[in-house]
This record gives sequence, C-alpha cells and structure tokens, in this order.
Amino acid sequence: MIAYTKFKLKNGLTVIHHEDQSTELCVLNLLYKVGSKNEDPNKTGFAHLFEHLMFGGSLNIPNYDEPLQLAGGENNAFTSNDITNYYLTLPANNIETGFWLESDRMLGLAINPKSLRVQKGVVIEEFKERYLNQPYGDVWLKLLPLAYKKHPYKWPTIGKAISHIKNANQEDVTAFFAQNYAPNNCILVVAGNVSLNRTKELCEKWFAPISAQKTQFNHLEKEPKQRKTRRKTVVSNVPANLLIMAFHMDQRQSKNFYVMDLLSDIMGSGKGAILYQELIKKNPVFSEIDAYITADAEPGLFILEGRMLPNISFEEAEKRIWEVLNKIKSEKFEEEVLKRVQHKNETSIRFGDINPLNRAMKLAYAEYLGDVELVNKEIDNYLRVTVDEIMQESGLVFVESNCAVLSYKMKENESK
Amino acid sequence: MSLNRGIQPDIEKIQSLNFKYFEKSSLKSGADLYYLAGGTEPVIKLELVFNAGKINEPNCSVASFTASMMNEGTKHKSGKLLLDGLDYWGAHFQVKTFNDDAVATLYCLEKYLKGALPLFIEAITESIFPERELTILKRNSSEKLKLNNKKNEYIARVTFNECIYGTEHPLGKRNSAENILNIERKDLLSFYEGYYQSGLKYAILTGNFKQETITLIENGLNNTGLNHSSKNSNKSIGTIQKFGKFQIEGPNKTQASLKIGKLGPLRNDAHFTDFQLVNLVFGGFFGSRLMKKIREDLGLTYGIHSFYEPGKVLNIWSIETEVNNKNKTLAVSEIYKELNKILIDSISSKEIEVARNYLCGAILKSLDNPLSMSSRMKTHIDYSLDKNYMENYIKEIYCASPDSLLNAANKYLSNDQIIEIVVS
Repeated sequence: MIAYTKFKLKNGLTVIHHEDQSTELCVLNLLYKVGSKNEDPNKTGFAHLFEHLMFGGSLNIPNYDEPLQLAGGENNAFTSNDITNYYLTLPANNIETGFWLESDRMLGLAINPKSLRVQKGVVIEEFKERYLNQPYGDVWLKLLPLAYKKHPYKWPTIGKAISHIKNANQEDVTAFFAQNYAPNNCILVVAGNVSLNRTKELCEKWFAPISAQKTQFNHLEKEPKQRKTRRKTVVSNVPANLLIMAFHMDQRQSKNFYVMDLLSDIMGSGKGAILYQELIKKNPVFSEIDAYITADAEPGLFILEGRMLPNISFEEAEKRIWEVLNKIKSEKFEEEVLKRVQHKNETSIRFGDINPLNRAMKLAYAEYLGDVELVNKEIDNYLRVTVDEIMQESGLVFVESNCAVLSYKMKENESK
Repeated sequence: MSLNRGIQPDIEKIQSLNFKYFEKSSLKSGADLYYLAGGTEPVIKLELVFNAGKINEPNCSVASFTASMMNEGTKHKSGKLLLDGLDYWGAHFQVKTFNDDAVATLYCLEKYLKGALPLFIEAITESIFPERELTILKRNSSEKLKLNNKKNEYIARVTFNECIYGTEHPLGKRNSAENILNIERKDLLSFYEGYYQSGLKYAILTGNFKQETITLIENGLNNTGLNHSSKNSNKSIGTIQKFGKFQIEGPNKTQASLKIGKLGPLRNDAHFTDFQLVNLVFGGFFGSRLMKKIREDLGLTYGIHSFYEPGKVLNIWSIETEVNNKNKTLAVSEIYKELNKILIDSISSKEIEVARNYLCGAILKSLDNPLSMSSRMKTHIDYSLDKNYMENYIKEIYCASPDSLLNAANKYLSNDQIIEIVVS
C-alpha cells in the first residue's frame, strides 16, 4: 500500500505527500499537464523542446544543475504525448534546494537567444541521432500519421519535422511557457524521508507565492473510428524487412486497458509467449517479434512489430500474424495462461515500488488520470481480468478495418 | 519577510553513510552466500555469480549463447514448461554475461520463492541446450549482427575493443556471421560444464526477506551438483595493444560516432579516487565539462560522456559521442581542447565541490535501494574490499584537492597512447 496525503494550494497547485522513513532520500516530482498532444499542429515538438529549455536557467537561478549537484542531487525529465514530467532526488536533509529550484522555474524561465539557439541545436541532434539516422528510427514518424487522422497523437513527441523546431522563436516559446507552466497546471509529489508538516511549510514558502495562470486547454479532436485497413510501405537502407500492425484500443482509464495490457504480455513477453512460440519457433517467420501497447492517457494503440526473416514476404508475415490473432479471438485459452501474466505483473509492480522515485511518479500520473488511489488499485485491476474479457475485447480490436499496416522494406540491393 | 530566491538554501554535506555490511554463510560446495536484507517491498533478488565471463569463451558468442539458452529446457522439462512454471509464480530469471563473469539472477516475490526456486535451480544446473533452439538462436543472432553492422556506434565500439585487447583476445575479437554459423552445441556444453556447473563463484541475496528464506536458498543450492570455483582467468595482457587515430568508413554517412580512450588506473592505484573525480568533472555526469561545452555551449550533440571502467583485465577510460558528420572535426578538436585544459589548469575548488557532492549523493542513492545494493556488494566481494572501505572511500573523496586531481589527470590522461576512432 502506498500511503499519501493530498492537498491543494490556493494557486491551484495539487500536492501529494508520501512519507517513507526507511530511505535517506527525498524526491520531488512535478508533472505538468502538457504533452505533444497539446501542441499546435504547425508547431510540433514544442513540449519536448521545452523540457530542454527548462534546464537553461530560471528567473533567479542562472544554472539549474549546479546547485542541485552541489546538494548531492540528481534530476531528469521526460516528455510524452500527454505530459511533461520533471523529477529530482536529493539527500533528505537537502530537500529545500529542490523546492527552491523547482519553484523558481515554475515562476519564470530566463530564456535568452543563446539558450534557445543551443537547445534547438541539441534537440535537432536528438532528432537526427534517434529518429533519422538509426535503422528503423523513423518508424513512429511514419506509423502515427497512418494510425491517427485527427487526434494529435498523430505526431510523435519529438515533432513532425526538424523545421518545426528550427522555426521556434522567442515569442512562441514565451507563449508556450505562460500557457502551460503554471501552478494550476501542475501536480507536485513530495516523497521520501520528509514529514507532512515540513512539506506543507516548504510548499507555502516556495510555491504559494506563485500566481495561477489562465491556462488554455485546447480542445483535442477525437479520433474518428477507423473504417478500413490503412497501408503504407516505406523503403529504406535497413538489413531486414519490418512489419508493424497497429490497432486502436480503449483509453487508459477503462477496464479494457488492463485487458489489452495483459494480452500484450500473453502474446509478446518472452520466449514462453505466443508470438515467440508460434512465429519464431514452430514456423519461423520473424527473427524478433513483440506485442505492446502505447499506454497513452487517451485511446492508444495495440502494436505488433516483427523483424522478418529473409525470403519471407510481407503478405506471408501478415497472414501468419492474423492466424495467431484469429486463434486468440476464437479459441478460449486456459485460465493458467492468464494467471501467469497476472502474477508476473504483480511482481513487476512490486519491484517498481522499491524505489521512492517510482512511487512518486506513479502517484503523479494516477492523479493526472483523475484518480490518485489508482496506485493501490492497479494490481487488483489486473487480477480481475478474465479469459472471456480478453476474447471479447480482442474480437473487437483485432479486426482488419481497425488496423494500420506499415511495411518497412529494405532496399533491393540489401537482400543479396 | 520577503523571500530571497537568488540564494540557495543551506545544504548539508554527506559525511558518513548508513552502510550496513552484509553477512555470509558457506554453501556445501565451498562457495559463499552473501546476504543483506532491506527495503519495504516483499521482493527478493538472488544472484548466482559464475566464472563464465566473456574472458573465458573459446570463440565469439559462446558465452552469451550459453547464457541465453539457459532457459531452453532441462533433462526433465522443455523450455516452455520451465518458463510457464516460473511465470506462474510471477518470477523470472536472466543470465547475463560480462567481461569477467556471468550472473544468473532470479527476481521473485518472497511469498512465491518456494515455488520458483527449484525451477530456477533446475534451469541453471541441468540445461541441455537443444539443437533446434540453437538453430533459432543462431539465425536470430546473425540477423541482429546484420542490424548492428548498420550502426556506426557499434563499429566504433568493436574497433575500439580490437585496439585495446587485440584481435585474438576474447574481449577484442570481432564477431562475424560465419563465426555464428560455426557454433555447435558441443561448444556450449563444454563451456557450460567448465564455467557454470564447475564455476560457481558465490551467490548474493538482497531484498526484504526473513531468516527462513536464507535457509530455503541454502538448502536449494546445497542440493545441486554445482561446484565452486575461485580461480580467475589468466588472460592478462598488461597494456593496450594498439593506439593511434583511425578514420573508418561506416554504414551511416550522416552521423559520426566518436570513441576516444586509453588505459586508466587500477582500482588499488593511489590515484584511484582522484581519477574518478577527474573523470566526473571531465565527462562523467550531466554537469561535466564535455556536456557543458559540446552539448550545452556548442549544441553539437545530444549527449557526450566519459567512462572509467576498472575491470579485471584492463582499466579503460573512454569518451563516447555522436555528432553530425559535418561537425566531427570540430567535435574532436574541442574534446582535445578540454582534455588539454584539464592537464594544465587546476580544477577549481568549486568545481571539485560540485563533483564531490554529486558523487556522494549518487553513492547514498546506490546504497538506499536494496536491489542496487547488490552491485555494491559484488564490487566488495570481487575486489576483497574490507568492511571500512566505504567510509574510507568517502574520506578520500573529501581529501581531493586541485593539486591531487591535477596529478591524477597528468598521470593518466596525457595525450600519448590514446586511441581515437571516428566512424562516419
């Protein structure tokens, strides 16, 4: 059980306190409710660019990292489709440095032309290194616009194109900060060896003076139901053909999320899983194959992704995947198959909870989803899933008209 | 009173660590079981350390193949049955190969250990390495190698290791599709018998567990045919085999992978701690000089790091980064500028303080987690460090001065005998 206390400051900042006296550390996790889905379609990649700018110094503190390191701390951040999440770990005695740093950058950033230019450069390098110049690196850049036609999940967090980042100017950035980085758009989790009183006192001191902002919650366009199979072929300099099939599934806050998450484990997790047994071992079609869900807050994707063996055609590979999917839809599998992934899941949740930082992140994300108590309900939510539910839901999800197929093909001369 | 946001709140130094020393008991084979309980979650991690490192493999991939096939079945159970059984108990294991050894790790909830432990032990002690699964592994590994050979970064790392260890040493040998094709079941069996079944060095148990769990594990391990081995491999080569600057044409023409490095000090070297701090200041953490200059100031890369990895064969220090092809010359010259600077100008007390406090914080963090504790324990065991090592280590960190760091830098980071690889 993860115990916590939730309270709200007058400026709208939600605070969740989680005390753990067994650690000598403390954690601050700040979840800002802004992700790539909140971006202007013509200015994508901003939420992530911002994550970088947040380390370029704030109103009263020219350098973020150095004072934190001086206090023995470490920090990092990530951006997803839904949120931007910042976290730091410190020796518990030095917790106030964390409050000082995080409240100042919520108050205001010191973005100057140089820091903007340099961080744009760093992000562009990241774009190239991870998305353009890696074999298969641009898979998400190709797949998402195929799977989504309206919803802003149609571009990845890095952005649609390098030009969007290149064109970001000082005004864009200032406006983005004002709209999104405000106490009333943030969830703060304070975890570790720190009392509730001390947390309240430090919140009052450092965060309460920051005024609330009028945040612009842009209305997100709903993704219309897909009506027929979508296909795209990409040819690139890669060593093997890659087949990706993406199916729309239910949102994070639904029962079906747990159903499909467990099914992805039954299908794809490890050598005992169905896909490995059927398509690598028994009748080899792939050299590697995996099933996973994107686990976004809003309706996401169930993805099957396999690197094909030489001399296997895309038609053959896809046909074989459908055979597996149809079997799952039509033949009831044993109870024990489900039990196994449920137990595995319980273990992995427990192992995750070892770390105060993980607990803090989970608390923040559950609150973002609308129910902080979710952190203590997840194991049960997984345990409640039944075989019938899996069959029923896969019958609805695994249909051809709900599928986007990306055939990532190697250049002809590569096959020799 | 108005709030002064310009001044950092008072900080406390980390002067001592709450380092609980681990205990040990002897197994029948002569190997020791080391254990340390901690944490609040009901989880345990059991590691069996074997003499089965890459250093002992007769040919490329033999060590890693043996490790990864440990879950492919035993005399009594197919791989599927074995894995299904472990899954049922919510447990899983993996066998990882390192340069010096290999570690088989079981992750489990304590309440299910009784069910999972016998399956784990069976997998590790009675593996049969079926021919058919080996064929699959060979096929998939050649595919993986094809993919790796498409990455400049991989080419840079392989070339670097060739320079360090030489092309005939197990740690320097380059893998090939042909080599993978030629691996036979008997190669794995003989490696398994020699370095697993007769190669248990010791075991480590961490997590949150009761006394009876220790007994359960002792009994489990005592009822196996595993033999203890304390011998270390004798493949020492003294120093790096080849140095110089190498420009290599890589598969990717737009991005360049850089790897620059040389020999670092031994763990028992008088400059060991100072050198760690020099490395930290230079490129070892986010606030390092390389990150500030190459990433934050010039925006040339997404990341640049330097690593100091003391090992049993050699202690290697190296820098790694990726930059746009057109910036590679600039990046290399900026790296050398930083390197020369650290040899000539003393590191300021302020910079040392930041690195030192960061390092102490990182150590505190590593000791805080019952599972990460085990890697700290492993270092203690592998290098026979005494009980007071950590306390002394912290003291040494606080003794570092601009002068002592300058000495350490000059002793180990001078420009001679440097390996520079650029793949683009």
